[in-house]
Amino acid sequence: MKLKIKNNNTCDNFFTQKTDIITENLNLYYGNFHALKDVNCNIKEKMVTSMIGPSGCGKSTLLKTFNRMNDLVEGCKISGKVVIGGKDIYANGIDVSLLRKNVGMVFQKPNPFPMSIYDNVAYAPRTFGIRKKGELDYIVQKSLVKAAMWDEVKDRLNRGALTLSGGQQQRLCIARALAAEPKILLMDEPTSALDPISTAKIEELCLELKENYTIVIVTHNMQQAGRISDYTAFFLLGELVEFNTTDNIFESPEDERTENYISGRFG
Amino acid sequence: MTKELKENLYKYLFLVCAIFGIVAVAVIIFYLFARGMPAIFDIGFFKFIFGERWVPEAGLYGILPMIVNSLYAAAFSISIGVVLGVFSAVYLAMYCKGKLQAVLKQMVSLLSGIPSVVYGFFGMMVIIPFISDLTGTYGYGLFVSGIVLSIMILPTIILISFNSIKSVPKSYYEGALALGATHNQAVFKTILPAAKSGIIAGVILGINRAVGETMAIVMVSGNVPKIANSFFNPIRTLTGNIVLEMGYATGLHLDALIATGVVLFFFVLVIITCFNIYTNKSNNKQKEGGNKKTIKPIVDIHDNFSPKIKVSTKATNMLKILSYICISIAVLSLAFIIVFLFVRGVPYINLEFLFGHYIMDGRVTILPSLVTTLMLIVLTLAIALPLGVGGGIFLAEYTKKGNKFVGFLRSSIETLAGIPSIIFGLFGMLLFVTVFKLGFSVYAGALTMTLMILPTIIRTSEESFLAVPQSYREGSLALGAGKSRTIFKVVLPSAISGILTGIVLSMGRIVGESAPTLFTVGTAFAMPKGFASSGITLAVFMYILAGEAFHVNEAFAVAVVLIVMVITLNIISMVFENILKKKNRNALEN
Ligand SMILES: Nc1ncnc2c1ncn2[C@@H]1O[C@H](COP(=O)(O)OP(=O)(O)OP(=O)(O)O)[C@@H](O)[C@H]1O
Ligand SMILES: [Mg+2]
Repeated sequence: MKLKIKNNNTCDNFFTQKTDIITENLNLYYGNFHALKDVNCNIKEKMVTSMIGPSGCGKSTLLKTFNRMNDLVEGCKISGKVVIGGKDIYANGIDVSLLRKNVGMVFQKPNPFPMSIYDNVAYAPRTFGIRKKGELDYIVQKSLVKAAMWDEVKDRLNRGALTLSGGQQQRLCIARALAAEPKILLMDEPTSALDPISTAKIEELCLELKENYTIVIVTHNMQQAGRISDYTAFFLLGELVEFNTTDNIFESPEDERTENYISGRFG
Repeated sequence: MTKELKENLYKYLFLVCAIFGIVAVAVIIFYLFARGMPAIFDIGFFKFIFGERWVPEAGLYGILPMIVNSLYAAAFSISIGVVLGVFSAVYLAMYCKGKLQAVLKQMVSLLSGIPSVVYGFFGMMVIIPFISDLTGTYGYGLFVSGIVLSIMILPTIILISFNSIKSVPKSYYEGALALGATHNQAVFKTILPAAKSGIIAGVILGINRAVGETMAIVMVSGNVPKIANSFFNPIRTLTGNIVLEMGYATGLHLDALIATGVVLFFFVLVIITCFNIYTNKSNNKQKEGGNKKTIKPIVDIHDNFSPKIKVSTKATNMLKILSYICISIAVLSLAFIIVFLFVRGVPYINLEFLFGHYIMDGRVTILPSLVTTLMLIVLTLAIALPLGVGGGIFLAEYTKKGNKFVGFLRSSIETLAGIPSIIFGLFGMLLFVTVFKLGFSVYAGALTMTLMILPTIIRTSEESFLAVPQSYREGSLALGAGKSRTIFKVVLPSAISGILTGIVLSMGRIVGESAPTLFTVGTAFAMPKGFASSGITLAVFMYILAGEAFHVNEAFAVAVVLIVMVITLNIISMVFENILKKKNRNALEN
């Protein structure tokens, strides 16, 4: 059985080029506090990049500059540039809604809405004007399949999302983000609240998703960074100390501070 | 006395205080039913409930018009009140920040205690002439009743909705924004649905208020016992039916009024039950969401399907504009009422008016009614305070979670809180004035008011006991103090500002209520000679003045005095609340 759906391939054309994330001399202040210092990095398309570093070094802060969630923080000032897919996302005239649709985010604590599983996944498509049941059904199913939880929930899509387990909730949040058809997926310690089995499922998912998505993941777990990421960035006190392939970072770090951190000598 | 005996004695003392709530509800229900049900069967159940004519002189006791009119008035006022209230709350919580938010919220809470006679008076003096000119009718009737009621329930709905919107976790908002929703879309598609159950609970309380409201409605409804067939027909409600005739009715007529009370009580019980079911459901986190949907599984998932998106923020933008309009209407109408009453009333306030001697020469002085109100406050608190605080202590210190009996205790207290004031008035008149032979007196009034304010005092003191850190109790118990000593020496002093909040709120209630005191304290203009003598409370005085054509200016002046008193009490209770909050914060930091 096949669903008849028109194939009009345009989505929104927000990004027209390869969706690399490039920051140029990025500085960020919370009031007087200098949280990011001259960060220059180049995150490659369709790769998994992990960000590591001790607590409070600015990983979440940097992640939030990529989808402008920092706009919500009062007194947050930014200088420098963040260019994604050839677009300066802090330039005037940028549609922040479309940016966030294209740069999806998964939070540390699963935050499904208190609605049904279906309504959670259909949230973003509905926000962007998709109303036809057939189209919504299609997107919901596709997103749940991609998030590897379709088989678990296909018979109970009407159930409240809050009745799911923590790991399921987090994968639902990933499905919900995928339903927006993003190009990039930002994940801020997505497994820190989960058990080992759920964590393994989400790591597997990351590896599958990188075929089609650029993934940036913040993690405190070195093994996790080693297992899933192609590139790793190490931060310390708001500075990007080292950015390289994961193999290089873990096997032959150039900076002494990186080596110290990785070998567990501080942090 | 052995220590164990003493501890048990205290425990049972507090238990008795708490049980008083159950006893009160039971006695009220029993008394109303015992006298009302025989009347219903005397008259004939169908003739009573479905009879369309109420002519006591002719022995016709049909209350269908009153039932229908009560429902009309409640439905009309709720539909206005809910839209205005909920959208105002959305504006307050999501579109306004800092100072403005604080000021507007304070204003709404200050206005929440304004006595119903004041609203009724405003309706009489301003809305009715306006409607009368506009429509060529008398003006009194369903339309004005609905408008006045909707203004009255507005603060309740705004405050409860505001709190439930504010308690939606911030992560929902962030989640919505991260998916590309705009602020407006996040507010109306995510936060509002998440706050739904709290808002509905607030709306149910508003409905209860609208069905139970008496004095304001009597002043603006026209009081004709006929089913309204247009907005501008005069109406009489169930509450109005009771209060208009209970002063002189006897025999079957009086019993028919009590039976009207039974019917009113039935409606209120239904509403309170809905409220309890709803709040229980919303406390229970396992929310089921969404409408029933099933997906036909698609076999073939082809990734090149991308439906056209369009960013349509029109609908939510309209809702945002609606919130701005609603808050403007709400704030402006509340402000207009206050300013109008002050402009008309303040010029007539002078020493003679406030403190002059009462002489029967047509001049108005409010001193006797001020004294009566004060006496009523003192006596009511003297009875209600020990009972209420004792009950609060029992609920907070001696009960375990999930105990069936305690649940029953709580829901009786909730029920007591939801009973309309006119039922207390009726009950007080029948029992305290007549059966106890107290006559119209401050005693009878205080006993009646005790029943009314008891739930407030129990609830606020329970809450403030629960807010006392457990470590205080442990500290005292670890030093070898017994439970009762711990409660009196440690818990009670720490909870005092919360209890004071409850007291002050209750004082506002005593000042503002008129339906329960009209036929218990009475309407004697002279200075009361003692607690056994009758008098007139300020709110009832206002009602009487408003009904007389010659004292309109003085009525405005009394309205100002009432508003000032209630607002002052509200401010004091806010101060206590802030003290409590600060204390708790300090306790947490230590
Ligand atoms: N909203 C804010 N206002 C002010 N300061 C903030 C805010 N958010 C973060 N900070 C500060 O900025 C610094 C970086 O915070 P950030 O959350 O990015 O750290 P992180 O690397 O993600 O740490 P963690 O591993 O603990 O999540 C911290 O010192 C933090 O205190
Ligand atoms: Mg972080």
